[in-house]
Amino acid sequence: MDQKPQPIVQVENLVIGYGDEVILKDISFHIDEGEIFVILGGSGCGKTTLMKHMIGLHRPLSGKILLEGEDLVTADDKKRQLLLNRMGVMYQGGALFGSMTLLENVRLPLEEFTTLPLSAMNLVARQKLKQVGLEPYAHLLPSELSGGMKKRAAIARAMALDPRIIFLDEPSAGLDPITSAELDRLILSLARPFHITFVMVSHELPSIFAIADRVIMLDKQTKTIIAEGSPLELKTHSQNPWVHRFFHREIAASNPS
Amino acid sequence: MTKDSIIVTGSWIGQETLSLVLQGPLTGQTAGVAWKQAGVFMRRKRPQLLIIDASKLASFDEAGVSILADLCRQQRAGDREWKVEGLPPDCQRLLSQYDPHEKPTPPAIRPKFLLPEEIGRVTVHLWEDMKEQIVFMGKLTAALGLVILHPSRLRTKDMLSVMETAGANALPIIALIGFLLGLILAFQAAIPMRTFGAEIFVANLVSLSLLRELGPLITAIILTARTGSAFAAELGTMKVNEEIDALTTMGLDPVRFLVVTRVLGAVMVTPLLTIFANLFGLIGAGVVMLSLGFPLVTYVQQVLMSVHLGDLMGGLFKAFAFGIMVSAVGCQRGLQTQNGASAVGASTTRSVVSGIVWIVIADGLFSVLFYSLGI
Ligand SMILES: Nc1ncnc2c1ncn2[C@@H]1O[C@H](COP(=O)(O)OP(=O)(O)OP(=O)(O)O)[C@@H](O)[C@H]1O
Ligand SMILES: [Mg+2]
Repeated sequence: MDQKPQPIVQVENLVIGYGDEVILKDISFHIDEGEIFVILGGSGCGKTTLMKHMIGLHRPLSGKILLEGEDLVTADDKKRQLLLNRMGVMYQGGALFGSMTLLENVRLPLEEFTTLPLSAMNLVARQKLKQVGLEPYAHLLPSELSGGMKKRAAIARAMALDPRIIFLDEPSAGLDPITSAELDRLILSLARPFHITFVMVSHELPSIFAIADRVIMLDKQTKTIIAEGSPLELKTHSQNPWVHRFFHREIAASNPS
Repeated sequence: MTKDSIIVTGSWIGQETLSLVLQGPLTGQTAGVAWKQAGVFMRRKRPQLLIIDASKLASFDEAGVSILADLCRQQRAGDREWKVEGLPPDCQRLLSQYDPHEKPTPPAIRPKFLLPEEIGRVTVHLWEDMKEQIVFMGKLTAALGLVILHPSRLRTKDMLSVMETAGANALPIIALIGFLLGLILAFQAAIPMRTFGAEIFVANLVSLSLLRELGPLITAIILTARTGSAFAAELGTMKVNEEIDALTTMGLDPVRFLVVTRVLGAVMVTPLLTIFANLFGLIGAGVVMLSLGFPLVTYVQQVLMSVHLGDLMGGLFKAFAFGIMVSAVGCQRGLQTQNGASAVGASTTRSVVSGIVWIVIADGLFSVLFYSLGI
């Protein structure tokens, strides 16, 4: 492909927060189609908050977020529904529906938005569970699973409708290195041939270096983006001491706070 | 002295210097004792110089060392001197992690209570809450309309399970309370009626008040307590677990998906439950009448003469309306839940309170309405 891909997500001068409290400000970036885009930052700096704004759950204090050129918050119902069906979301805590088995959880979006017969929906749902290694547990309730299994099931559910863009909040936290590496491979196998966009929050350096095309790094002190680029660029070229420490896993000589 | 208890011995050197010797393990378990013992020596007078001899400490941990740090802090706060001697190096390192300059945490300042401010706050809050309830009722109506137009979009399985838990499973408690109510009502009425020899009219009194008023009312109150609160807790937990967010980002409207099934399920069973409450109330009253010596047939005849179909239907209509309100308000309180497990408890409480308030308001309105319509 020589043609430059369209940005699928565009964020302009965003200010977000809860109530009057500003969590992040002056946020501008864009994500191209088919990219694996990683949001980095210390604990509590607002990564989840940014993601929840990107998927239209909260209204920004000011600024704009465009998904495929449309503002989710102000889009009319039809357009909004279309956009929502083209994205999949995995929440930090999994957010599986507690009253449904894994299979039913993954099947739910199919039931609601496709006209497939039940047997076909079951097939698709099982296939998605297989991809995250959970097929043997399809009949269990979320409360009967471990934390990491819940996460993987949530990823399977996020992928149920074959979305064009998938948001993942810390997918590999709480997974063992092997499962985590398998997850990376799954993401690559979807992103590269099918051009599916991934927006993820992650802390796993090996995984970031293995799959991320581009990362942004948020900072709690300045409440802004302090670095943007490919992981390798940030590791080797960044002047920012915080970024340097993050990528070289160093602790501060003296605590800046 | 046992192996795992601490002993603090203190001696005053002159007027100004106190020396404390700590002997034994200084850990989280023993620190409280050491603290009390040290307090005994310090209570009389604060020393200008406090010398703590730690050379006989058997062991220590972070919690134990914290009381050394606190003693030092107290000395410092009063501009007095202190010295810690014989501290093992590891312990010294732990101690140095505590900042001696740290001020004790001040007690949280409670904002001053101002009546006008409070009244204003509560009023605004009530107003906002009312607006939210109206918006919610609008959304619910729209979603119900949608389901009526496209019945296939109703999640029938969910609705049936709601009908089972809210309806069938509530039957024993409804029957019990209904029976008790009829029994008590009849018994209490029979005593004054007896002086006039008018005991037979107990049947009129009980049947009318049950069918028109009390049957629907207790059914609604039990529904609030059993089902409204369960809805609030269920949806509240889903909110806390981000399940509601997950639905929203799937493009599934929580009101259509979760609330409609629950409200429809509850509404369908409320009139049925009311019929049972009425029936068991009448049975309760019947028991009293039998014990007063009336044959069953007389009682039944009297009941049939005193009530009309309109009384029953009016009551059932009320029950239907109560069912909508109670279940809707339960769901709404659940969806309003803030973050955290305690928020779920708060929404559950709010759902019961609001449910009962709605019942009272609606019952008052129905009384006026039925009166003016002559029902
Ligand atoms: N619902 C909320 N209401 C108010 N403040 C919130 C809320 N949720 C999060 N915050 C605050 O917003 C800030 C950012 O939180 P967020 O969950 O986005 O952090 P994060 O970067 O995802 O952290 P982590 O890596 O630990 O998941 C935190 O300081 C938190 O206290
Ligand atoms: Mg987070």
